[in-house]
Amino acid sequence: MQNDNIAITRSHLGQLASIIGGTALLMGIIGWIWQGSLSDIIIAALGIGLVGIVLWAALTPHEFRAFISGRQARYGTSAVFGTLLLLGIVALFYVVLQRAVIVMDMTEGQRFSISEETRNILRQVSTPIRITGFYSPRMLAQREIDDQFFRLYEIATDGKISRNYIDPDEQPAQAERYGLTYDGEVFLSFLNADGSVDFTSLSALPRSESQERDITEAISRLLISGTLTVYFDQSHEERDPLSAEPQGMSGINNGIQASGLITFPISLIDLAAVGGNIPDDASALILARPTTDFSEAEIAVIDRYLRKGGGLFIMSDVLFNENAFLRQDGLFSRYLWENFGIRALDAAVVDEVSHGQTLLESVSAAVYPENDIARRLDEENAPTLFRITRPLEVIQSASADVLNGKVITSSTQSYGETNLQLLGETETYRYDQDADIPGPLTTVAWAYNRTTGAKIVLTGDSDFATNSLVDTSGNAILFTDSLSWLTGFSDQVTFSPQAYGTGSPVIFVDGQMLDLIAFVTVILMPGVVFAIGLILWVRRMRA
Amino acid sequence: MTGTVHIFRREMWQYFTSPISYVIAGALLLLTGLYFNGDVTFSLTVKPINPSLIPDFMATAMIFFGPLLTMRMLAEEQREGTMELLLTAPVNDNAIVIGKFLSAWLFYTILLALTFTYQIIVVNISKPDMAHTICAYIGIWLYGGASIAIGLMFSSLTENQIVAAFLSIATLTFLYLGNVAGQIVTNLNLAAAIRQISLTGHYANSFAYGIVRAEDIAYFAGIIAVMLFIAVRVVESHRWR
Repeated sequence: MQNDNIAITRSHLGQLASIIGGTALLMGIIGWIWQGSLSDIIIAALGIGLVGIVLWAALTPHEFRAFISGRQARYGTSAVFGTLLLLGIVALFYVVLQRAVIVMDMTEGQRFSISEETRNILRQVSTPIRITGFYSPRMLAQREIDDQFFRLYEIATDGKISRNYIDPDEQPAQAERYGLTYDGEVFLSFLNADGSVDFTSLSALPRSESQERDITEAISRLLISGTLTVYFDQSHEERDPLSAEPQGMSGINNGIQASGLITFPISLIDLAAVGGNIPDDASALILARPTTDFSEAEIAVIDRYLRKGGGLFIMSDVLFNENAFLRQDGLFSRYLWENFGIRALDAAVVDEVSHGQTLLESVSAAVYPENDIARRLDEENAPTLFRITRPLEVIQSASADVLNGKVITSSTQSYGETNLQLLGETETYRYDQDADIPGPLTTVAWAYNRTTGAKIVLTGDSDFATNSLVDTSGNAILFTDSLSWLTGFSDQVTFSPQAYGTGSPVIFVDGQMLDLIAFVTVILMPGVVFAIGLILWVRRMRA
Repeated sequence: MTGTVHIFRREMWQYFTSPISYVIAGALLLLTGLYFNGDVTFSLTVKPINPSLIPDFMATAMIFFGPLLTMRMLAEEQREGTMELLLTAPVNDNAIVIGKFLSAWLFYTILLALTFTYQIIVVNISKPDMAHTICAYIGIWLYGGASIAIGLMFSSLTENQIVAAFLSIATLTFLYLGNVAGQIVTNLNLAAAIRQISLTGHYANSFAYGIVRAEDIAYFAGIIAVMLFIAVRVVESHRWR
């Protein structure tokens, strides 16, 4: 067994001291620069560094002297300073370019640029707006993706829109104050005169496929916040907009308010009794399934409102009570039919193809995108679900001034069950060729008077907007986009179709083509390269 | 300039006459081919093909392929004693380093160009966003240049190829993972600073999304310049050490 003696010389110790001392000194200086103050660890590192250097100088004075004054020192120092100088120049150049924000969007749909529609809206920004994003270190990549979009808004508005990022892990109190629900959430708000956030205007930024649409619409909502008022009639036992019960409508009420719109209750019966009018500031009136039909005086209140260009959202329902709202032979139904060419029929849609858990739960089978309401609706990806819906009728020739149309229809395999008494008492239905209405049946319709500017959206069901169903697929979209059209909000935020684009189409190839692709890319291409390498190797071996 | 061209030609000749280069190229094509086929099969009738698929893969692959291309470049010259011959030849230190770097970058460019075959296939089976793809390729080309420059710098530091490769892989891994520093580091500023110096931080959120940012080009160009400068200084040190 060999026994090697390990000799530790002064020189070895000096080298060790120089390495430890140099490393500790460097770490200490970096830590000092980074933290901006001297912590215990940094002081310890600097101390170890100094002791190491002193030991090095004491143990190997010749080496130390050569290091600081010899040829190595001269050339080495020159190389280090040269490198540091170049690093500094590169860093400076980088920072200048970073601040200049020189970006080229090469995507086909210009997905990372702001469109002219957005610029039009941004020109209206006069009050400072703050984009506040909450990103923990884990969401740093997302922050950078978002930031390069947000800074385009900052540049386009000459700084009127500014950005601020907060780490929710470091500032949980701030996160709570904003009502943060997830890491990476972004808020929009006005700024007060002192530069602080105006929390009364705070709204969360929704996240969907089109980031530009999300931000611009949120800015638009902020700009118009407080200027649009929506009234809910509460005099006919309508659904309660404040109720958080499954049959209540607190969800949509909160959603409307979050969008910057103001909501108020109103009583049509009281207004009719005193010959009053719906307030002038009403951007829309919502009739969320009144249970009883309207009197002549109430219709007169609505008529006066519509003649001034009002917006009316009518949610009817299959009702089994007497004097049910919007019954076909009622006054209000006649009013709508004669003036706007739309009405609800006394029937319930039974759909054998496009339905939910029962045949009475109607799922949108076709959508007519001729109106903004149907802009985001899609029977495949965002279908609407109605619990029990009345079929609607739309007549084109109501008046020369009136435009109207369908938004959603049931399938061709549907029909309108007219025996509501049987349906109400026994919950049974059966197609009667003589009495029932053959499908497809309209379940949502719209009407617009070009002269007065009056707008109406009529739905055959009201359950879709209740807390129990509003989150189901396209239901929320139907409600918000209907209200958006009625209030004129959508006129202020209009995007060209590319904003909705989903990018390139999916690929369709048959199995034979797939095999060919696999052969070329996995066998042929690498095979040829390997073969050349093999030939070269064989040649070398023979040479 | 003549010296640079001379070194460049010599290195390119070595690449094209060395079986190892073909093994590296073949292995890279095999991996990218498998990756491409996997994504095509997965995307079928479900989603559009990812325009930056291959460049994204190359960003990961460069952790290993970059050092494979560069580890021998200067380390071998030192180990075999040919560095002294080079230093006494009528070429300056800049020419040695830049010539070697350009040859490795060109070899990498040829490999990258071969993977463009996949894009030709994609054009025939779909309607991809080609501008986005080209943007991602520009990004990964610069990314590759920076990786090669880092590998070359480490190759200049040692005469042991394995050590050079190991140091390069460790550094490239750090600069690759820097993009996800926030997953490990709890300090936001520190995580952001690490991201700022990471290679993927200047590719994954810009070029890979179809965006060209001047700052990212400056970053990659800066990394190449600094690494080559250090490599030149190290080569130069052979004269006075």
